[in-house]
Amino acid sequence: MDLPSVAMLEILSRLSIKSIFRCKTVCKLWYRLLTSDPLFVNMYHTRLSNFPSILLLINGSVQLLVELKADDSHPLHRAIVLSPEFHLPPLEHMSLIGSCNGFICLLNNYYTKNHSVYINNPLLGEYFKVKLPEWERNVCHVAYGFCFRKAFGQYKILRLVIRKFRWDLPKVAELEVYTVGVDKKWRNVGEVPCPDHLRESFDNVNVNGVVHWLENCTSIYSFNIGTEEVKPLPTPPGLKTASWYLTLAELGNCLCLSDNSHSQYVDIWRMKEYGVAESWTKYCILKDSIQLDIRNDRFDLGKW
Amino acid sequence: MASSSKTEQKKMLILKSSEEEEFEIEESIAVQSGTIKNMVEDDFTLIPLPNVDTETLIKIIKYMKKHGEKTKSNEKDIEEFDKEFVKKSFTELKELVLAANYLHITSLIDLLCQAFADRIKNKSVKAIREIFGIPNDFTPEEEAEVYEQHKWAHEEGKEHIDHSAY
Repeated sequence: MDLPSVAMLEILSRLSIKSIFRCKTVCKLWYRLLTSDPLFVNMYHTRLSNFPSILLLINGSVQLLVELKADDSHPLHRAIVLSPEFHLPPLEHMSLIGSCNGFICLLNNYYTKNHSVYINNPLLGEYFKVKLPEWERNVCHVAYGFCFRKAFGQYKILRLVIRKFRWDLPKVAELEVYTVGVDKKWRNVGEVPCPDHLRESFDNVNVNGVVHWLENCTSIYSFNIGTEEVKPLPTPPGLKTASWYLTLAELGNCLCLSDNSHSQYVDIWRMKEYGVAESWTKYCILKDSIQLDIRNDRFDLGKW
Repeated sequence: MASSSKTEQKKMLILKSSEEEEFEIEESIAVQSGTIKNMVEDDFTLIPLPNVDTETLIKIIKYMKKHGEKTKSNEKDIEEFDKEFVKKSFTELKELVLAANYLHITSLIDLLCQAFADRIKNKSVKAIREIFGIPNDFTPEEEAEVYEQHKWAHEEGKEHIDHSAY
């Protein structure tokens, strides 16, 4: 008695990646379903919360993809290491640009002009290289972001490029966008103010379908993933801290800002009403109440 | 005025299995099944279920009755019931999945499919074929090639691979 494919997929989409790959050897139909059936991929992604995966960095470079799964027969959650050669591009110095909806975006060899960007799907064990614009001599800094436009099922890569055309001219920053599978080349979305301090990737601050990054202590810039509108947002009124001490994050679908400049405490601001400067509310954490061995680390707000 | 205690007349339905056996059940409980709900909206009170045999129907009615009396206080109780409910042979589970699918009982489909996944996750490929009654249609060369592609997934290592089909 055969189970219909849909029922089969309901069952298979609840397995861990390792089990799914083992099941590909069962028969040709399963091989096809588990490799390329869009219904399967969809079902799997909607259950992603069951098996979160983490990328492990060793010596500052992404090395392993680990899937966490609960095992009823063991009291502790057990990690399964996914074979690195199969699930990640075989590269040297990889860092993570971002991840959404089951895809991860990786950056290789950032500090060279020949750096490359890859998009990877750990479920299918596949990756491809993204075509980047030609490197220009006047580029002095590039940062990348990765986001997903839910309504259209589109993935977009963002590229903030800072150029200095001449030694005596100020730096100019522009935002470029590339919609995966749609755009033939990168599109320039417009000039943005040059951020004070930016690393190789935008922190994943996505609130309500809008990507945010810090320009300086008085303004935050945002990119609406759907409309591609770029516009500023106010930081907490009166904030004067250098942006080196500030970190932007998303918590509970609200924009948050942490200020680590004080020696005694950490300020965490939360924008209760999106876009309203007066709605920034401050919370204070005494550093003494934080465990000694992590107190001096850079405070990164994040979700567990 | 004489007060007559109004005993609510609970609407009852009759479910008929493929073997023509009939079972009475409260409508409010039976509508956990999307299929039955649709038929009730079309004014059926005798619901023929030609795709569900008696044994399976009895189990499903038991599930619906238990979940029909779900309140905030007996959540633990229902969890225990669910745990015991899925302790069945693969053959029984398969019948239940087919029936739950046909009857559109979302919570039951979820429960059964998760239980299935949990039971097969460490099974060997051979055992999985037996459980689902799937013949191996790979040629030995093809099978070896696919196996090589994902060798890491078949490695035993710390994970125990179960070769039994039960």
